[in-house]
Amino acid sequence: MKNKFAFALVMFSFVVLLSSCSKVPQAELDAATAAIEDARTNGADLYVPAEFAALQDSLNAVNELIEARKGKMFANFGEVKTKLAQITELSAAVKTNAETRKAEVQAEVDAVMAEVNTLIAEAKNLVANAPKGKEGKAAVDAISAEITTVEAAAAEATALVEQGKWIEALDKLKAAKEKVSAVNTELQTVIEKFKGRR
Amino acid sequence: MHKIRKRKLFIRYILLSGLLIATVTVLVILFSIPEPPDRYVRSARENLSSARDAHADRYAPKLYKQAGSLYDSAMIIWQSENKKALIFRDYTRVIMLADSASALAVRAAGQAGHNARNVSKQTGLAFSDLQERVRRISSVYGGLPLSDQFRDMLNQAKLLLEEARIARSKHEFHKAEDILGRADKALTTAENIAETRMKSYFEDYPAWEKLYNDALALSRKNNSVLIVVDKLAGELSIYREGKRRSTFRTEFGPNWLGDKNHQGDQATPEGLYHVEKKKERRQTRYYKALLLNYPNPDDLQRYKSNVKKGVIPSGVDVGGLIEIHGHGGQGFNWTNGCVALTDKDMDVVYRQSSVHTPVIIVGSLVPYGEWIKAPGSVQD
Repeated sequence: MKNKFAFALVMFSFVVLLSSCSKVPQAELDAATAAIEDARTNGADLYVPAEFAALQDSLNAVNELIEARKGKMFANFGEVKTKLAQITELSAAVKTNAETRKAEVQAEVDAVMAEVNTLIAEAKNLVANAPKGKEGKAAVDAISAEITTVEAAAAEATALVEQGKWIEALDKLKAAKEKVSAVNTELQTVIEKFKGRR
Repeated sequence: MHKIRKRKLFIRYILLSGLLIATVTVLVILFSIPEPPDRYVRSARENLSSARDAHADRYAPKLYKQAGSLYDSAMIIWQSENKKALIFRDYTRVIMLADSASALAVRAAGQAGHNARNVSKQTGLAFSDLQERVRRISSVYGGLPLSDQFRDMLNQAKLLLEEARIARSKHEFHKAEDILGRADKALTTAENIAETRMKSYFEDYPAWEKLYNDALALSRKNNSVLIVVDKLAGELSIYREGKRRSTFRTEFGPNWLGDKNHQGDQATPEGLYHVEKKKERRQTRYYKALLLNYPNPDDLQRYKSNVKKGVIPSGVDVGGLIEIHGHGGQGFNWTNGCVALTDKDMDVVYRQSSVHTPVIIVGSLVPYGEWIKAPGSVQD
């Protein structure tokens, strides 16, 4: 009996040695992957790209760690579990940061859009109050054409906003703002120049 | 008794042998387990990360993508090998793939750095070049009464340049490159429209040249005064005995680019005219004026032909009352087709001219090739 028990022990040890039996923390891994995907869905790759890339790197590193552990005789996934928990936690923070940044960009778009619209209205008002009659008409006509171009750019920005492309819309609006500001300055110069000559 | 002892010894021997075999097996397994390829894969990942930081996804996308695929393959094969029993695992391919991924990622990072510097430099040069083109086109053609499409294209190019400037300031050189391409296209369209129009306008240059040379010869021969108006130069010059004596800045009708065809077209006529009447201050709204004999026989002939062709509606008159008058110096082309001078200049021209003084009005005194090179030759 004693001998049989000893033999079984040897065989069992042998089997244990041949295969590692510790389990990969699949639930934690799935949770971390889902958290990263959630951050991406909320625009983390667009609004906080560096943070998002770091997250993905971390997950890749953990995947490597899992495989490395599987290569050991006595696999221990304790460290993996801890790291996956950290990634899940970090993903939530990155998601929040992305949402905050997106909200900031949206607020900036709204502000610049309002500024552009005010400047366009101001430009149109200046055109309306520009020298009446044939004098100066040519110059004002040329400037009006520039206002039309800026209006078209603002409309394009609105279309981009509707497509959720806030960053592209912001860049377009910033360019439009620069342009319409220059147009207003030019208009004021034309009006002053004309007034001085009247 | 001896038999039992013998049997016990045999069992001991068997157990010891088993233990020895197990120990040797464990030792053999321990030494034959392949070392996990983690350091190779980690190195590949770190190099990929560095490549991404160098914006290889934008500036060396092909290499970066290949490196990424090799890394993914290495991971898949590693996972697949790990499903096998310890002693049957073989990480050779994983190591090979990870090494290849590493090498490609390093190359991608290097190429990205090089390409980013190049694109930055190229977009910088393209930006300056386009800015200069905008400045030149605005300077040469901006003051000309060209089509709305020309203005639209020029304005679009200006706006796109501003967008490109923003993209460059954010180091988004690829985006800037794309925007600059669109600006270039808009600018080329604007330039083509302007060039086509001006080349067509200059088709009359031989006639203007002949008109000018004949009038100059006559002024020389008769020791007489000649008034020459050069529309593109925006100048009126007084010649005496065939020599230019003085030159003044002028303003015309808004549609001055081209001949006058009918009443209300706000165009300034082109051709040979003479002063028909001198108007003192009380006889004109515009300080002083020299009434020209528009329409001359050529104008009338062209008008009738255009009416016949239906180019001009039959109810529209040929127009008249084209003058050289004062109240100029507004800085714009504002008249109904007349030639306006400042009151001070008008005094000089008025004094030096008399009824029958010939006046020639031409598009340009220089051919197209020369005009296009001459800076500041345009009305504004």
